[in-house]
Amino acid sequence: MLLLVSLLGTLAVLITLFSMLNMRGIDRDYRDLLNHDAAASILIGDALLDLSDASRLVFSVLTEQEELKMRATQLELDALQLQFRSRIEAVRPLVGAQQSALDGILVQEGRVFERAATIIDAAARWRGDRALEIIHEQFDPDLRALRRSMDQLRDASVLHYQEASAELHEATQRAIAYTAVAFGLAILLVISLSAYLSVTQISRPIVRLTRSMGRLTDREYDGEIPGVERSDEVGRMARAMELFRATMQRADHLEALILIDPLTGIANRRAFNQTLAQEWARSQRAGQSLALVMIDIDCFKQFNDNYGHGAGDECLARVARGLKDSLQRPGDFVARYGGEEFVAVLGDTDLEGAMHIAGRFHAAVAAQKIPHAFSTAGSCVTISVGIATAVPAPGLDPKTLADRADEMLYAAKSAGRNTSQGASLRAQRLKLA
Amino acid sequence: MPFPLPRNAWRLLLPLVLAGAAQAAPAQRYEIEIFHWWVSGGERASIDVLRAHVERQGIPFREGAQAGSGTARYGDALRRRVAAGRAPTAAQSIGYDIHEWARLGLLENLDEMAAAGEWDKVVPNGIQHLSKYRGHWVAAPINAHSTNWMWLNKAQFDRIGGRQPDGWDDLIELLKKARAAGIVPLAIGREAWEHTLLFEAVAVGVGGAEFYRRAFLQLEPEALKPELLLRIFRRMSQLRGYLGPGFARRSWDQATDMVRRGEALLQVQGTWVNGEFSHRGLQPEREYLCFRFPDTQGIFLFNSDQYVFFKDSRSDAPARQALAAILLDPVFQRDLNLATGAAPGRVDVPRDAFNRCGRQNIDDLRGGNMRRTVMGSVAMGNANPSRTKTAIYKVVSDHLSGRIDDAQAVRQLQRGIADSVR
Repeated sequence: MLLLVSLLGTLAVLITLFSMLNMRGIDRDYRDLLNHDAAASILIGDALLDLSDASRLVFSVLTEQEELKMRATQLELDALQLQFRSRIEAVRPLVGAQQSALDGILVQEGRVFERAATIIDAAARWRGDRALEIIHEQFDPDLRALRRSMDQLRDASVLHYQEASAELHEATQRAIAYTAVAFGLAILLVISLSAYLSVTQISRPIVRLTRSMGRLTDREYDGEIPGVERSDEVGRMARAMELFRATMQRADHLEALILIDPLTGIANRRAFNQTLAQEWARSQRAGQSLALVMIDIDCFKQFNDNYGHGAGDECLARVARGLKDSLQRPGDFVARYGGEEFVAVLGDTDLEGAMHIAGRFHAAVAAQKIPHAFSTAGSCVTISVGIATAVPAPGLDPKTLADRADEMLYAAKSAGRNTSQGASLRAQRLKLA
Repeated sequence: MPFPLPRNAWRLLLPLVLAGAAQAAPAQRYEIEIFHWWVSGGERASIDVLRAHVERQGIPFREGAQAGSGTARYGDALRRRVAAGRAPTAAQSIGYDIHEWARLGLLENLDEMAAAGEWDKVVPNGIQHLSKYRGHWVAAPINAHSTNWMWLNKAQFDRIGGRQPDGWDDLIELLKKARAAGIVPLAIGREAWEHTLLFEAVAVGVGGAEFYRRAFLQLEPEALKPELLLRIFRRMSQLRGYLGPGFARRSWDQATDMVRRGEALLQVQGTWVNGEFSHRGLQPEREYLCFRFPDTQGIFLFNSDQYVFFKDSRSDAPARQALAAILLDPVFQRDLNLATGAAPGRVDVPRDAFNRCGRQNIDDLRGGNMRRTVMGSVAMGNANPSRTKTAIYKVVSDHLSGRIDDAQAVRQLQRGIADSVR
């Protein structure tokens, strides 16, 4: 933000400087224009007046009655010529490209004053006829040509003035346009920059943070939290999230400690109670069948008594792993219910599906091949399974389901162990071998 | 402003140096011989000025003379001499006669001498027009006589209570007074050039300078408007009544004598009359008066005496150069024209030494230069070639002598001029 503000400020200052510079240049050009072209045309006008004076002087000679007075006129004319020349020289720096025209004028001027001198000389020798002849044939045409050249120079000056004025007008327009465009571009730049910054520096990181947050909610703690290195608000947010993740992880760990059976590493009774309640509610919402499977290791007391508690604990852990490994669907759940008893909660599973899973439980435990010489059901450790399924509905509750599964377990035990018994609530009891 | 030394000043100075050397040398290497028409008393004085200036440089001076300026008599005599291989160094010549000589290819080109002397800068264009043939100097102008002058006997003028006439009516009034007083009002000689001299003054007075230039110098037929010519000839007819009896038997200088003696009030003549009067010791404002012919004040109809140089003369180049330099020399032109009564041919000669009429003549020439009113005299052949001049002479003389009337004169003049340029 600070960056943006300073950028904007700098731009504004730059543009202001740019337009001021432009405007000052234009102003200077305008003044130059007035100083140069206007001054030049005034000077040329003055020089033209000098010429009028000169030609008047020349003509005045013809009316003089004394030679001395005529000769004196030459002195006046010389002074006038000097004045004329100084004016032309004063014009020189003002007309720039017109130097050659100026040189031409000086040449013409030299000729005109030379003619004037000849005329005065002729008149002073009482050769008015010759003076008149020179006036008509040389002086007048030369003077006219000189005036024409000077008029042209003045016209050129005026034209230059007009052109330069038009150019300046254009320059002014251009400067204004440039300034406007510069301002427009600056604003556009600032807008795009802010947009870019808000997208790249704020909204995108926030989106990423949100995603991270979503993952955290799902208890995925592996993903990196973006933007922690940043020093702005987004960075602070990311760091807060990182902290939050750590806290969540710790909380999860504690929760796991609460819900996991330390001996077997699978969920404990407390976790089962939570899961059952959750699954019951979920299945009820979905109108799906929920299966509760009670598992009991056959003749475990004899095992413990004969093989020791250490072997008993190991047996429990191996059975638990076997059970857990048998479950492939993500939502399926198995916990240690207590002692040598386990329980599985299977969402979206009817009795038949549950019986199928129970078969896999039997097989898994069998596959462990834990010798049990003191079992009444076989040479290796076996399990008995009781199943109850129900589509949760009003009038049914988890406890009923659990009781029913317990009844089915008892029935399986009664049927000789290493077997499964199942029933659907509100359905007649099924008995399968 | 200082005048720079002319680029080829040596050309001007060389003859002088050579002349100095020649003077010191025992044997003369060259001489100058001129041919002229100055034979009257006043004119002799003028030639003496030239002789003095030439001889002052140690150059022997010889002359031959034949009376009759601008006449066939003078021209024939000169031609005979040239044809006989006795061409003079230089000969007096005026007006378009100069061009006639030049056309024959007999004249020396004077351009170098003119350049050295800056003749272009000091000689009025009207005169230069005659001095130059096809752009080259072939004659050296020594003066500018003016023809539109009236010379009056001051005693008679005062006696009749005359006033200087400003316009035509004033002139007629003055002439009437003279007639009433029993003197010849307007003395004139028998020759056509005299009549034409009177005519040109009347003509330029009636038609103005522009008319005169177009009609008689540029010979534009459309300038000869009948109504204008008629007015001119009517005035000539008017003057005819004041000429007095017997003018057909007088020469111009006899007419001048009539004025000098008081037998006539005035004569319309060129400034050579000023020379004649001066020669006889007369002075302006004392014995005589000079007035511009009425209505021509400000106009200077000129007759410039000039010298042409012959290629085939026995004189060598230094002699010719020396003579040319003398002829255009300001001091010579001053001295000469104090005698001739004319204005110097170069207009920059100081006028202080001249008498009142001479100064006025110089002023008029200088002023006329400013106004382009310095124009050649028809009568003296300075306005147009001799064919045209002769045609005009005949009509004007016939008319003044009463042989033709005004209307005939108008028609004949138009036709005569038109034929002459055909």
